Amino acid sequence: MAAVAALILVACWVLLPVRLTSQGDGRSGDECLALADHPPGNTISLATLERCHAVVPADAILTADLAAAYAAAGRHADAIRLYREAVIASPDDADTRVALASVLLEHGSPMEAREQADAALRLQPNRAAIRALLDRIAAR
Amino acid sequence: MKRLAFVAARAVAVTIYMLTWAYGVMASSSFAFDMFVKPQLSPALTAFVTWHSSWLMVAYGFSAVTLIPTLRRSASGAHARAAQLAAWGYVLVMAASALWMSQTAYLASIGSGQLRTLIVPGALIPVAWLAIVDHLNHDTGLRAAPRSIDQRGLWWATSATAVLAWTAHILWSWVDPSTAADWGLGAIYALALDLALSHIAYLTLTLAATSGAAYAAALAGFTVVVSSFAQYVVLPTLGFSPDQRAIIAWPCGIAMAGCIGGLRLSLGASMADGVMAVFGARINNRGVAAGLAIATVIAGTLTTGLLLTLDWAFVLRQAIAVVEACAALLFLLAAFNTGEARAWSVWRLAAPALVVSAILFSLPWMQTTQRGVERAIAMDPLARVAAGTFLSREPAGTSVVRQLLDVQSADWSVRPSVPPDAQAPVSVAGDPPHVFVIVLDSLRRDYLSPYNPAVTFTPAIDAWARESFVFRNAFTPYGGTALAMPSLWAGRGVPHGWARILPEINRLEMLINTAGYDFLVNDHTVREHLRPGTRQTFLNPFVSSPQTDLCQNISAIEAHLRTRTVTTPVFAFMAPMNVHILNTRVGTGSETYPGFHPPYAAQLEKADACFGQFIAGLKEAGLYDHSIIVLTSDHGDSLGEGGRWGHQAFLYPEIVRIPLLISLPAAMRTSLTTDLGRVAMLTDVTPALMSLIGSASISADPPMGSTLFVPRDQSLRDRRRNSVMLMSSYGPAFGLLRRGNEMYMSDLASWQESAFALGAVTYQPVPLTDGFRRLSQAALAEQVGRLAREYGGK
Repeated sequence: MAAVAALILVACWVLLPVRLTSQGDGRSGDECLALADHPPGNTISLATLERCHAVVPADAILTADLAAAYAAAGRHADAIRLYREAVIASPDDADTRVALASVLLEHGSPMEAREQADAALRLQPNRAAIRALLDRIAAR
Repeated sequence: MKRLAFVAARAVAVTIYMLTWAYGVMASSSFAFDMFVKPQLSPALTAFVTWHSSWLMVAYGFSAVTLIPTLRRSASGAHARAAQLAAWGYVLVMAASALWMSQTAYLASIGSGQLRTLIVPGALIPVAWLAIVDHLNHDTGLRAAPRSIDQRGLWWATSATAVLAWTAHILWSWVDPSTAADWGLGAIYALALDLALSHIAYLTLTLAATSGAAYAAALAGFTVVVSSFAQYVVLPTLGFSPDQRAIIAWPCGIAMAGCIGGLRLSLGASMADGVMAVFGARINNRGVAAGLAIATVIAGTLTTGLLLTLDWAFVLRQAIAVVEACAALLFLLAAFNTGEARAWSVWRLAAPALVVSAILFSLPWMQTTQRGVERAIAMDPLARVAAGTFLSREPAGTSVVRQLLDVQSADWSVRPSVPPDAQAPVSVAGDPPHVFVIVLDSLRRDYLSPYNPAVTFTPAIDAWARESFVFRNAFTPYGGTALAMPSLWAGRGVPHGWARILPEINRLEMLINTAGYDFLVNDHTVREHLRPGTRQTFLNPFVSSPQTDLCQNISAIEAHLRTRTVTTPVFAFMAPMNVHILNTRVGTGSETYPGFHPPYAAQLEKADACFGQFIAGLKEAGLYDHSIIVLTSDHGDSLGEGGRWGHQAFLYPEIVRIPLLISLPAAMRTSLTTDLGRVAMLTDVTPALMSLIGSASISADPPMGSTLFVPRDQSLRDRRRNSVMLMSSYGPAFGLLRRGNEMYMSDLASWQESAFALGAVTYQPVPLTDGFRRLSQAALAEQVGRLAREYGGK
């Protein structure tokens, strides 16, 4: 009887910290998160970006990076869709709005492009590049 | 009566010696000394040091009085003679020591680094010496066979202590609305943790009681409790390395155990009483003993509850909870101990473990373990001690904090190196504008209407914000003034030993001097560390730091502007404390602010009115369009979120998110651009001012600051991809801010590791993925390592 009790005792005290320290869902995605933090200018393959976007779809910068890759590959509809997702996820990011406006101007709606450029200008007041984009939109 | 006088005299003496020891510990930490002792932040501490010679004489006198019976006794036997010799030695040596220290004003004279570490062991010598005398006086029964132990009484006493302490703390948390969230869940986990702790105490005491040297075992157990608490809970907050913590903690634990044991023996206990000689009160009436236990727990609970607003509350509350539990156990042992050898029961031994495990494993909320522990340790300080006892040795994702702290510790005890680029010449172009920097201590962004549309009590700031740049993603890298404020002045991350090099890295002060500003300042954190040659007018010099008030600062500036004779531009730097937790934890205002903490909102509303008058005054005087005005804070504050108050020892989004609003002179406003959505750090303020007033713009990776404004035709450096290290100024907590909308936090003090998604106004806890944890910890290690390299550490 005493041995059984002692066994239970030891089992409880071993299991207690295990129970208390169990946490997290263990979802892995660190490679893709690290990739998303890459310095701008590094070239990452479209396939890699797509794989990582599937792992961390809420990552706005990774989404914008994939959108840029689609735009470079001529897949403008995909680029616009993803840029829109990125803008919704990170509405304060003027650069993404400018990129979306640029693609929209060439391959979508100039009206929406203007809305995005105006929003970007509010985030980056006086920015010459955005004013130039607005001038281009007005010229259309 | 004699006993009472003896205890009182000894208590006074030991308290003074231990306070001296505690001061010595603080003075041995460069961080603590520069932060708290040197600036004389605590009037009580300053008074203690000033009058230390007198206190020491009091301690000597009282302790010598307690030795009179030993000195007058006709000694017979080797131990008695040794006791008498030791007592005479104490009287003579301590008299000489007290005289020497009173002549040299020793405690008040230290501060430049010499000899101060001698206080730490030195202050323990009289305590240990008294303990030795006491033990030599009563050296009977050490090797005697232990008296029979009432294990059943011991079991009931330890269990009752846990339940009693748990009941009191949980009831308090139920009354206190700030800790009421998930009350039931937290209460269950707290009970489990308290019972677990009581079971450990029961096992330890039982083993000690049945050992061959029960008294010595009990003293050893007491030593372990005191030393471990000091080593793992208290000393890490003062920036000691692991080796230093052990060297400081264990002599203290040994001296304290000896002191308590000696006192008990002097009061009539016998070593043959074993465990009961140390832990058992000698009270014959069970009702009285139980009543004393209940009174002790109530007093402890009230004290810990009232301490919530103080800095280091997380340490003080645990310390009081431990003392409270030990005292309650002492009384409950008297209540339950029958003195009979009641039978050992292994089932009784296993029962608490079974209960604890049954609670934890049968809870319906199987995914709420971490939340349950978080709530338990917020509600019950004894549960926090238990969590630390059982869990802090586990990696659990927080081990990185321990490693990072060790890297930081290397910097705290030595003078940091000065990074060469921090001393680059500062240039000024053209006529510098006036500059007014207001760092409203503890100002939360979500209490300002430019950041939160629900706010209605900051109309003046709201109106000014429409003419200003409102940085939406602004953060402080440091959750506490002690590091945040110097980092603002330096424009970069700083080590804990910043006070020793600030004059050499203070870029904002260099800018002020180079531009020849008429410099007005009210910042108690850095005032001691400005260069001697910097001409300054300290605003409201007779107002203590916690009472500094924006309205008073503004009045002083306006008076200065009216009466000054020079025509040079003004640079005013204010750090008022209107909304600091010291002034906003409780309040008497009758105004109600639905959804906001009323005392805080009421204070802010008053400050907002003064700010509005200040802006109106500048416009009226024609200065506004020639001024740069910065409104920010050194950190935010917890105002009851999750039962947390203040900012002293932890990191949460409400603490690291700050407002940052800047208005520029008309000419600059149209010629510059910025990115209002970028991650803007408190460390960017000085680089921004430097670029606006003349120097080339600064672009650096975190933890160094970079400019906020560039000419409109230049591209902005994208800081959105950067991850930024966050750390508590005082507690063992680190965090990582990723892109301004994700945050990782790891806190060793409260055993919490979390991830948050930051929204425009609020934030949400999100599941912490392995990937995000690894990424964050790698980035943290990289940035802490960079800081260490910058300042000459590892």
